[in-house]
Amino acid sequence: MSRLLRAGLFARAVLFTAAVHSALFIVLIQGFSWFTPPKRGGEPISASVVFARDIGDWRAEDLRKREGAARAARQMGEALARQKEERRAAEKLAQQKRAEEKEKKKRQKQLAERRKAEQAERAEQAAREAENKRKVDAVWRRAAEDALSALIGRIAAKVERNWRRPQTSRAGLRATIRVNVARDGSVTGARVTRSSGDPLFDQSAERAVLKASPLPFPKDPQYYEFIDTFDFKFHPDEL
Amino acid sequence: MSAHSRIALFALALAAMARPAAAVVTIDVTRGTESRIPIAVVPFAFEGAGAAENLPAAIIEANLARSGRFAPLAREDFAARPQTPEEVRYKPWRLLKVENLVIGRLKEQKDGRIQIQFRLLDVFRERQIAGQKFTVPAARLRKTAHQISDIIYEKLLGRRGAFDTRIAFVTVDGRPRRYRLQIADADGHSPKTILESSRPVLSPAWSPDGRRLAYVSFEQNRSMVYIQDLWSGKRERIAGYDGINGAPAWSPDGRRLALTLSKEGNPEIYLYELAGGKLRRLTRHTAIDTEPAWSPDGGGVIFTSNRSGRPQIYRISARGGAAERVTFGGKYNAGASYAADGKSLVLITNQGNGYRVALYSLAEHSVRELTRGRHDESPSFSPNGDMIMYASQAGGRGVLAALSLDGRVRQVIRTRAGAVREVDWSPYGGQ
Repeated sequence: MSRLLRAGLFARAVLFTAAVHSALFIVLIQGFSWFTPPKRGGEPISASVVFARDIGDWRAEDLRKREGAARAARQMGEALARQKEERRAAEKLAQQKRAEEKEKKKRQKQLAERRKAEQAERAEQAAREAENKRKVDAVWRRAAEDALSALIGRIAAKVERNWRRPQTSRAGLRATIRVNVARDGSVTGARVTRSSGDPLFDQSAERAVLKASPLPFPKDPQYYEFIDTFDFKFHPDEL
Repeated sequence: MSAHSRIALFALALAAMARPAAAVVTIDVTRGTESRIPIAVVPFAFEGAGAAENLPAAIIEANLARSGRFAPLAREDFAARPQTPEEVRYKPWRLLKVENLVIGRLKEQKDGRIQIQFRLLDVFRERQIAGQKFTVPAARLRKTAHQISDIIYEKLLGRRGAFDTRIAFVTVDGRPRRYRLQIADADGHSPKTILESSRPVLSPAWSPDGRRLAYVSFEQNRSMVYIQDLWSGKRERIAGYDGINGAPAWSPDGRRLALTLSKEGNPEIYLYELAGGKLRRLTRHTAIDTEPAWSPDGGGVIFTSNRSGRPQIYRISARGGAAERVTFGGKYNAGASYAADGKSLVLITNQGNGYRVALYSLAEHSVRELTRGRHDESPSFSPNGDMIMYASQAGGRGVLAALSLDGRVRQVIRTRAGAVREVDWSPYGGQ
């Protein structure tokens, strides 16, 4: 009895072990063949190897078998469910990923659009600034024009006061005197660059500039720093 | 905006305008003055035994002033009295607005002659314009000063000066009256008597070569026209007809004399050929025609006539023909002579205020009075046409007066003796 009992126990243990292994095996198979079509998973497990054929208690065995099969089936169902669950999760993940992708694309598009808008705005700003600068420049230019013409008027008046025209000069004489000035307006050099052909006329023009030294420069020489050369064109209008 | 950037902007704008292509500001100068030239004639230093000869500088200064073209600086304003270019510091003269400086030196030579040297300096351009050295007898110093004056005049005005010329004039003085025909330097100095007479002497006229003088003398109790050679003193009677023999005028080529003669009853203008003595009547009118004067080209003669009722100037071709009236306006225009350019006449006019020297513009037919006298007469142009010499009245006595052409400078010329009646300014040359 005890032998029998021992043998029966042994057989049960073997059967149990085999069932567990086969279940695990199936799970393993199923696990490895994750992306294989699901119908293959439906193969009967009854083909498993029976180690104790000589055991007479088929009922028990059958029962055990049935229990094991049920368990296996349950396990398989669980595995399938899990598998399904996992597939769903994966699908969900993929969906999520797609959504994320889409969202990302959308964001990128928006970003590009924003950048474009910003660029346009910047260009507009630059144009506005350029226009502004042009306006400011025009104001300074006008101011400088006025200042320069006033300066020229003062200088011309002083030179004219100092120009003693030769009484013998013919009409239509023209002479140009190039004059270098220091920043205080004092004449540092004068020479005839275009002769009238009448030496006395040329001399009178050169002398007029020298006599007018210092030319009436404004108090702020810094404004006129760059003005250091003048061309005085002498051409009497009423000879 | 900061001050700095403001300056930068302003300067930038200025720079942009001031130098678009060329790096200079151009200024047009169209008006000037025609004022007199400020000049300083520094007394010349004298090295030698004789009396200090300040003479040349004084003569030069007086000449320039009399011309009306110069404004000599008063001696007391002189910044310094340099004698050599090395001694000249230009800046003080510039501050005085003196444009030109005349400096010089006199040095007595071993032979007694005097070396005189002068320099004409440009104060503003700091350059020598002219400079010359003469060695002359002391007696010629005055003439040399006139020559220097002429050089200065020409260098600064571009026209020949007329200081080294002479004048001929008639004086009368004393009781019984003595009439003297004299010639002197253009400033009235160094007079020499050519003819002395108890009878009137009139109308001296220089020959174009400056060597002979034509005049009218009453020494034989009636008027006669003579030509006297100034070198030899020899003279020749040209006209001694019945009636008036007067107002000789040399043609520009010196070959003919225009005269006023009344040998046919009425004073008319005649032309006298010096070579051959041929006489030709030019005017034919019942009125008085007198005071002939030649046009500069010798093609015509102007004269005074009262054919319109009052004395006016008329012109006739030297070949004869009809006379045309030249002057209009005023009740008296007489004694005319041409300016060298032929564009105007100098004459005596009376617009109701007295007999005055005036310029008559032939283009505009306008009279411009130059003097303010009551009894001015006998105006005569200097050979360069820049001055006029005439006889005037000062203190009830006849005097010589020199006038600048613009009428601004009038100077009475002192003569040693006698009241001046008539004057004629010599041409160039002939000395």
